Amino acid sequence: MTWDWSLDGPVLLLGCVCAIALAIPGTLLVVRRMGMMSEAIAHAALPGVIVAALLTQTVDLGVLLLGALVVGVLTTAAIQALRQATQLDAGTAIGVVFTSLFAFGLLLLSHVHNVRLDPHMILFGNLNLAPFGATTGVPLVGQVPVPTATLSVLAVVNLALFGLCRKELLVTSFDPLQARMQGVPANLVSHAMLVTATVTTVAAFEAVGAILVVSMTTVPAMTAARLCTRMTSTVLTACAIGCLGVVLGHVAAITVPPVLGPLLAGEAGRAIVDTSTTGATAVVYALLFVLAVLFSPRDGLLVDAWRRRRLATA
Amino acid sequence: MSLDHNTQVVLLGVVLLGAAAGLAGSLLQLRGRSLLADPLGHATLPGIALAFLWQIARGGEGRDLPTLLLGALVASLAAAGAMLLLGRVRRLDDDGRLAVILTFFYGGGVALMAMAQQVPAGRLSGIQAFLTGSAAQMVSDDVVLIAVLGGVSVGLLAAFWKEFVVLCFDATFARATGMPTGRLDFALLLATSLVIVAGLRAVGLILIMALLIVPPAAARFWTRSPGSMSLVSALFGAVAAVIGAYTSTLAPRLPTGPLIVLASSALFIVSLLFGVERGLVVARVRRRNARGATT
Repeated sequence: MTWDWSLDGPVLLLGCVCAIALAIPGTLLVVRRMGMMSEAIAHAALPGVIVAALLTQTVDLGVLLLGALVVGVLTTAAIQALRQATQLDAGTAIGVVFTSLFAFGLLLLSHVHNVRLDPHMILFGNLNLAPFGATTGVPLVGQVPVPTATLSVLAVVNLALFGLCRKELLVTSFDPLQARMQGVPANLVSHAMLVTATVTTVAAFEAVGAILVVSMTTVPAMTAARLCTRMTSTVLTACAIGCLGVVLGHVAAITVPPVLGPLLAGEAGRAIVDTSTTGATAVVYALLFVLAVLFSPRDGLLVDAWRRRRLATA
Repeated sequence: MSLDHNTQVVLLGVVLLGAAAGLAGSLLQLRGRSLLADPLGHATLPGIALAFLWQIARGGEGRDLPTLLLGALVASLAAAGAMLLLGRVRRLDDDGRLAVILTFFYGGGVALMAMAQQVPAGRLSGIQAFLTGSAAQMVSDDVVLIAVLGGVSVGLLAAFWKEFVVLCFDATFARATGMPTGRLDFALLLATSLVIVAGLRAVGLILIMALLIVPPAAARFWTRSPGSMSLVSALFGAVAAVIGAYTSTLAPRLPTGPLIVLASSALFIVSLLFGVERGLVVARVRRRNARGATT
């Protein structure tokens, strides 16, 4: 497939604003070791979307997002409550809650007929189609696809929130006890952060699907954390890596399959022209992370080996 | 009640699956790695897609079940291997490892599936049933397959039971006494992957993790010893499977997989409240009695 800015441009733009909006709560979740929370929220959104659609008999985006948001907030609350009330470890608490909700969503989905919902779109998302739906008018800019506009607003809001509450977020993430002694409402900050993460996850989930939401939230932030030491630089690097991954992923989705297809499927593989940008971007994120593990100047495996060798010879 | 042959086949299949998943999941949970069932399950997707494309390359239609399941198993084991390999990287917690593995394998799976859809000779429609399962269409061959894969998994866990329990409770001690902890960890993940592959037909790759996570979590409220927890967990898995599979026959178009998971969720809620060892109600009564005794 050839490159066409009128088709590829909107995809890249949506991918990048989505990556930026998610990288900010993502970094905060990752430093608190709660990256899999985004997996839980993304899966739990399914019953939320369907219940909202059934109750209102519409597939209006705002209504669906509201449904997903309510269930998302309930999910995070249920997970926190389970962890506090029982001795279950975090992973088990997360797993029990979101698999149950997801199963409920699938059960509902099998009985939804009068509302047009595509389960495949919900599970996988389709970055290649998302920016070509409804548009909304934005002053000075003109017509903008709805998901692009929503996620741009969220990206700006998240950046502003992070800028304003940087100190509080930092101290509650790394030393909750110290935070309480300084009079920072640690619980309130944590809950506010989880709500922000949930809102962003739900909005992005509609545009890019469950998998890429989880990837975009956690992996660029983890990659950035291997390169940077300070919180602000980690957040900004995570945004940059998020965008880089979208661009590389989209290019790979167009260029790699024609080569890979015949290798995997022989003669019949010549029919393969491209693949999903969503899947390719997720793979690119994982590969960028591996590169950071190997070559990070901070404590990459290569630098480590070199330092050890110098110590040995000294 | 009398059940027709089809229902009996489905029931037998899901009961075996539920029990095997409950057992493997209990050790996974004691090792603190419940959530690992998520990437290991999702990782079967690229394996299925590659096995499909491989069959196409050899002139097939891509629907040979053993080949597809072998692909799924290999991919799931590759994810397990990657998980253990990433364990050696410093400053990388379990949560992060799970996210990266999930991203790589599931993202790769989605990309490969999108490619597989473009192959004209292939018939991909049946393969997409692996995502959410199709228990109602199970035939006796599928039950044999579940019995074999689940049996190997249970056999593996039983053979090294003592070692696994030591590993779960004190990995440092296990290493210090010369146990091959790396190989034991991989064996535990192998047992898990076998259950996951066994469950692809019945409940699908997204819901199978629920059977590995929820029944063991419910079992912990009833007992403190690892042996009885595993047995209770296997029992809960089997009971949830029966309830779910039976409920799905009560009305048309009720999917079996989600109902089995929801039955296990119901068992979890009952256990959370009324479990005799750690249940919330029992704990409250105990606290009250203790307070009464001291005053």
